[in-house]
Amino acid sequence: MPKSFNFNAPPFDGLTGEQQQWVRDSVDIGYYASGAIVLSPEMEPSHLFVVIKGHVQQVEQDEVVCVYGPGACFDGRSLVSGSVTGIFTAAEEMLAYLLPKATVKRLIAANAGFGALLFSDMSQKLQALTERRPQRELHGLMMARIAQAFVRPPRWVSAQTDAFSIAQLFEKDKLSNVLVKDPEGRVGIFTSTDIRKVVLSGTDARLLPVGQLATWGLVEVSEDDAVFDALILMIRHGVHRVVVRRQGDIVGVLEQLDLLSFISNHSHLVWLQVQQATSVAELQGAAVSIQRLIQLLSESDVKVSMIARLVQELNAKIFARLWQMVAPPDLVENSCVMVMGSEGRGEQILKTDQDNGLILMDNFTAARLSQITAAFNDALYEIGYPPCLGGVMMRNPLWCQSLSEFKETLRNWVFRPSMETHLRLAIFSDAEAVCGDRSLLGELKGYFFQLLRERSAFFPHFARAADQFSEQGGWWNRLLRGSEEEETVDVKKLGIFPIVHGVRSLALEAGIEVNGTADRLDQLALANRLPADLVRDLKETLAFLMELRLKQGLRLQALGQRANNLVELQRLGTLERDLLRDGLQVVKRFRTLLHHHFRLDAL
Amino acid sequence: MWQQLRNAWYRKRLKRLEYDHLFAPPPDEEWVSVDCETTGLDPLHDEIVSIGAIPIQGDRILTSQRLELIVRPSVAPNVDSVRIHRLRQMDLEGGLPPEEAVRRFLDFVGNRALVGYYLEFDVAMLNRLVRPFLGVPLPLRQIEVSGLYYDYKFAQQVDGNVDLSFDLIRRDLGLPERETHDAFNDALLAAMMFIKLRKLRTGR
Repeated sequence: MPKSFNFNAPPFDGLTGEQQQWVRDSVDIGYYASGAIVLSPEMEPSHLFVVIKGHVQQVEQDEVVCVYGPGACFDGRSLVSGSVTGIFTAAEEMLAYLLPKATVKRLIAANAGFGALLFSDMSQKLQALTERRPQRELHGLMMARIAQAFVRPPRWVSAQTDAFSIAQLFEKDKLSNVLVKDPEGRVGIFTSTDIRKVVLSGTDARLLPVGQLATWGLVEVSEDDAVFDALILMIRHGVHRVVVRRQGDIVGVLEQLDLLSFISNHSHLVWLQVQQATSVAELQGAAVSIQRLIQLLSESDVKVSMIARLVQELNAKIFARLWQMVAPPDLVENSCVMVMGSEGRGEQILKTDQDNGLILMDNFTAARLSQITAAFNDALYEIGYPPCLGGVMMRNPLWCQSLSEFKETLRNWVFRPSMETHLRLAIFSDAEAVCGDRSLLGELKGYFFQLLRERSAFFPHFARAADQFSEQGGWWNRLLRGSEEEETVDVKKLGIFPIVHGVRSLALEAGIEVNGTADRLDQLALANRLPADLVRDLKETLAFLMELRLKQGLRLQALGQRANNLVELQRLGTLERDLLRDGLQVVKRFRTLLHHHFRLDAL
Repeated sequence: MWQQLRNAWYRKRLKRLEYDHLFAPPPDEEWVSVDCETTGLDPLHDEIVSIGAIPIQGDRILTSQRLELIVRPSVAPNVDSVRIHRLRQMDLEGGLPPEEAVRRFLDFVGNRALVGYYLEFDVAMLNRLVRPFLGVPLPLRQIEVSGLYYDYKFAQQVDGNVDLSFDLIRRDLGLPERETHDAFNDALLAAMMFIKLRKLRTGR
């Protein structure tokens, strides 16, 4: 409403002050009794509806395809196309803002982000979601000057140059854009994407002056501006490039990709911070930097799998550095520190717990071993890695043994299985060495795989755990209804865990020794043990679920709470809900495959 | 009946003939929800500081066509009322002179019926400005939402004990919460109540 219209929810969250005023000046409010038809194919769509209260169902061919709750808006697509697909009915009494078509069109024209969010395809919508303006405290790195980032020198062409030559130039010099100058001195840009326009124009590219298709009126920054500002500008204007000026002269083009890689490469700053740390407190400082880096990368469109990998590297450095601080040199030399579980797979982004262990060289005895391991675990806790509730920590004698003792333990676990030993083996099978003599873990793992080969009956029981949190038939309905405000979905239990554990079981069975779930999936596809399309779907689903969990975790942390696995449905947009629904469908498919493969039903 | 007679009497005494259309029968399916913030609660001495009016058409609340006026009172608002409506002396200095506000308000509502919560008070306040201007009080039809609510409740329960507080009605009708004591927001809530109660009554 004019006064309380929510400008913090997409697609309205990217509007400028002036654009918000357009909304305030033209929005009406409509009331719909329960069951009333809001939109149907016979109607001429004249407004965009933004639900204030109540829910609306979109029904196509007798099937509910979408439910819109408070804050959701519909139906951008029909507003633009002029025809409505499906029938929109008030599932319960509903109040909605009515934003006239003219305003919506005006906003689309003026704000690329708004248009994209409103009616783009799913992938584009996802893209747009990540393009929204990041709101965070300024990161030191983001304050770096643009001059420090990789600014590509400009390539100039005149506006008369034909498009064909430009395409040749792109090909020859591996360019993705050129700057165009017209006789009046205006500056525009022509990018490889614009080649599409050339083709679509139907004119012979040799006769088409590039000036006609170039984009004029460029977004510009000064070399002295902060990297942060450049990123904000790109997001705000929905562009991937900005022109960089030095005292008025154009000195180059800054590409979004270069900008982001600049930011991620700066993770080496954090790395240095770790290397130079001489106290637990300094390591804690580094851990905080990692946290900020995660936040930054998550908001800057970087794939969650890349973030995870980076964080794994950095965490491993912290573990190693810490171990060197607490353990005497001879112990460091004659042992191997391993991290396990999600940390070992490189899938733990926010610190949820510490799973670690110590393998000692046979015949080596360390003085004060129990104090040292306890000190390590305590320091990690201090740095911000919560203790493992299952006791998978090196202070626990079970996870601090000599190589031959460990072998014996593994043997026992494999041959005398129980729920508990399966869990331990699952955690161990993701082990990754972070410090000390890595060959110790190598040998132990080799022995583990050998054990598994000897005992193929192990797998069905092991794999069954993927089923332990089977759905209670509830989530589907909840997603569909989506009305209760506190509804949450445990993405770990319903999605991440079944995928991770199922893939782990298949990988162990196939003798695949990599740790990451995505890597394991790739190997399984290579070995023809899983169909390529399922592998792709599983990887995407896992990435999506991890991203949901990460976003949720960052939000909770911002509120000073601990990250968890519960995603609040209320917080998800319609699109994310759709993706979640699709993703959980993929998990279901995968579970069915596991059932057949390991004959779980026969157990 | 009584109103017709009264209006016929007023009509003869109307000072400004250009406002004769106010006496025409109100249009169907169109109303204007009104709320005023005042310097205090005494209709005899206090004055209007802001007027919010929102047209209603069928089931739609035309917030896009809203009227929001700040009126410059002749005396400074008392401290307690500033706390409620949050319009300070300095905010009011940019307001319209009362006569200009009345003119705009009358042009805006026309002959549409007024809707409001404890409308009697708002109309009494408005009449302090309207009377000197037109020579007669507002001749418009008035619909009291708390009255509609009372009728609706009374039809449901036997004991006839109905709480008519604004917030309680809002909650009972399942309407969204808004910041109150703002002429526009209060008028908006009254409009929502009106539409909803009308629905409940006609049973549609």
